[in-house]
Amino acid sequence: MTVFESLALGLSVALSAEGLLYCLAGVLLGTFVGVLPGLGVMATLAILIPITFHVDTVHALILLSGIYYGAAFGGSTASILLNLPGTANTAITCLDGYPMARQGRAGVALFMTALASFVGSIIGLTILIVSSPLLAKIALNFGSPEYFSLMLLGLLAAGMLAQGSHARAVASILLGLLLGIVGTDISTGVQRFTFGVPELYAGLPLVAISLGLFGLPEVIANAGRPDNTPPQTGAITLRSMLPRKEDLRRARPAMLRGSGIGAFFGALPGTGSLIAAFASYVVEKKVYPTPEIFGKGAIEGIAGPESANNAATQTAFIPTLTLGVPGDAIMAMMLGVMLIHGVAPGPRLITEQPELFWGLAASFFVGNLLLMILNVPLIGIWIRILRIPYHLLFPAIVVFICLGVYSVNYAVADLLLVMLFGALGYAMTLLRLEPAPLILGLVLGPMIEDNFRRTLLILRGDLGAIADRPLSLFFLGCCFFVVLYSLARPRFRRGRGTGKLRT
Amino acid sequence: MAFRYDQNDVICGAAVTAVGLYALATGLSLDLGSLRRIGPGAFPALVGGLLALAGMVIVFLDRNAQEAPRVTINLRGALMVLGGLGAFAALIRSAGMVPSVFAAVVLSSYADPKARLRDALAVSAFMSVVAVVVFIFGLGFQAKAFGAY
Repeated sequence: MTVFESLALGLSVALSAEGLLYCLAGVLLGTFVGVLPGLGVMATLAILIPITFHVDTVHALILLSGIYYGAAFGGSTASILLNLPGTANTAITCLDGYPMARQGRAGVALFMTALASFVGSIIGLTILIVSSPLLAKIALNFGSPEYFSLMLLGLLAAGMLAQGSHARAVASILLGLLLGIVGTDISTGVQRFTFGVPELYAGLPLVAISLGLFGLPEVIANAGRPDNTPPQTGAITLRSMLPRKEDLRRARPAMLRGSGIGAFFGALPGTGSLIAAFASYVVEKKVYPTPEIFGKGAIEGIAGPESANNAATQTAFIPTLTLGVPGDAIMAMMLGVMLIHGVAPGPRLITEQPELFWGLAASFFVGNLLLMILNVPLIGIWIRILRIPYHLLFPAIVVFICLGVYSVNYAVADLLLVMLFGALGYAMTLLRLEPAPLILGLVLGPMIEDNFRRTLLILRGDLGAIADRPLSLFFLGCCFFVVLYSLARPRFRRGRGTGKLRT
Repeated sequence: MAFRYDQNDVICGAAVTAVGLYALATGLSLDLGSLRRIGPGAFPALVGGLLALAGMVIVFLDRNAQEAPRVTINLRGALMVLGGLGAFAALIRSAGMVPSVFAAVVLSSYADPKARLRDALAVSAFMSVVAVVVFIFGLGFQAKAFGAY
């Protein structure tokens, strides 16, 4: 198939009535979740996964991905208007977006973040379309040793490149690997960690765990929180959103740099939108001749990170779709959904199910066009949504969690599992153990164990022989580098801190 | 001082270590197999051992301790939200959708200490309509509005 045939096939899927409907539903929900602080992407995905069981795989993925990149797109609204990030990834946009709003330039800030998000997404999407078939071709030669070392790299990177405590991130991943073991061992049929409970023989259900770990702690931590103070800005008219020529001139290079940074970090295992946005902000501050203006409403400070954030959400799909190895928790959930639908993502996906890959890619393009409409001409609606009091919203979320998890098997046991994991998730939040790496470990766990066993079988028990396989050796070398880098990092940080004091 | 202790680090690390040791013990009690053909116990034992190690690192070496803000436990929030779920689980089979939704909403509303019954009932009524119309009629959710399914 030529590129044009592939794109035509993709567009035919994305532009069909059903494709458009699910795409629109996804980006609408995504924007809603992104705009509202206190309602996370992970929890929303987990609530909706059961609904997608009754839908075609491609439409299910179109819907769920729409929520994911829609939230990244819409997350900046609350950052700008309330100085409160709508999603964690847009925290950095508060730094310059909120000062812009205080200066009466909220409209311009909202327009520029939408534009930057769009540019970032399109650049990220282009890289996804161009590089995925190439990467898939290379990955066709992967055997178990390659997959094992690649997954090890993914897990190590998720632990070592995480914000905050490395030991805690690693512990969270290992807890996930452990939970992934629960159930019947595939190669020997031995029951592991099932405690004689028949409901556990098939393993722990992804939906119940993610709802428990993400949905409930979020509600508990936010219950009783004071309602959002309504934005102080006057009505945002289309006219007030028009940027000045100078704004556009200054934002253009920042958006291009941000998109590049975002595309890079998004595709890398273990890093993602948040690190990408942060890196872009640091870079913009470094290249600008007068860095003092950052934090006081610099247009570069919102344009760069926003395009980085959105480019990263697109390229995050590359390793998931072409290698079957997710880079972060959200991608792990996407992979989980594909597995539930009986689709095993990997190097053969593009050639064997082209309508799935190209349909999804085309829907990203359509979705981003829709998001541009939702976030510019229709921005007024979302600002009104920011006024929904949280004390009315969170009991509704509890009901959606109940309905979502119960509809999977109509099993009361699943509801009890959600309660159990809700308690665990809340305890983890209190102990500052992030639940996101746990989900990555949970999904990758069975895959990594299987590949580990097969690797040893292929190498006849001689783990050192893995060095004879150049790609494995390369991935293991990367693992080594990641560990070295993360151990050296605290020292760099201290150096930077004292440098700042001196100036 | 070389080590910075923090209650949070100690509790977190100890809990992680305990889980790790439990997994290690379980793994060792299962068949470890040989290097060429590893058994069902090897991976749990390996993960458990590493987890115990990570727990010890959290207790003794975690350097982020000083930046940590004080933790306040929202016990009321946790109990009421989990209680809401429990009520839904208890009622959905026997009493049907509307009573389950009312119980879940009213209970979880009181996770907020300033909750008002009027608001909770309004949300319950709204969510009952959504649950019955969208979920039961629209998506074929297997439950009755009232009564056992």
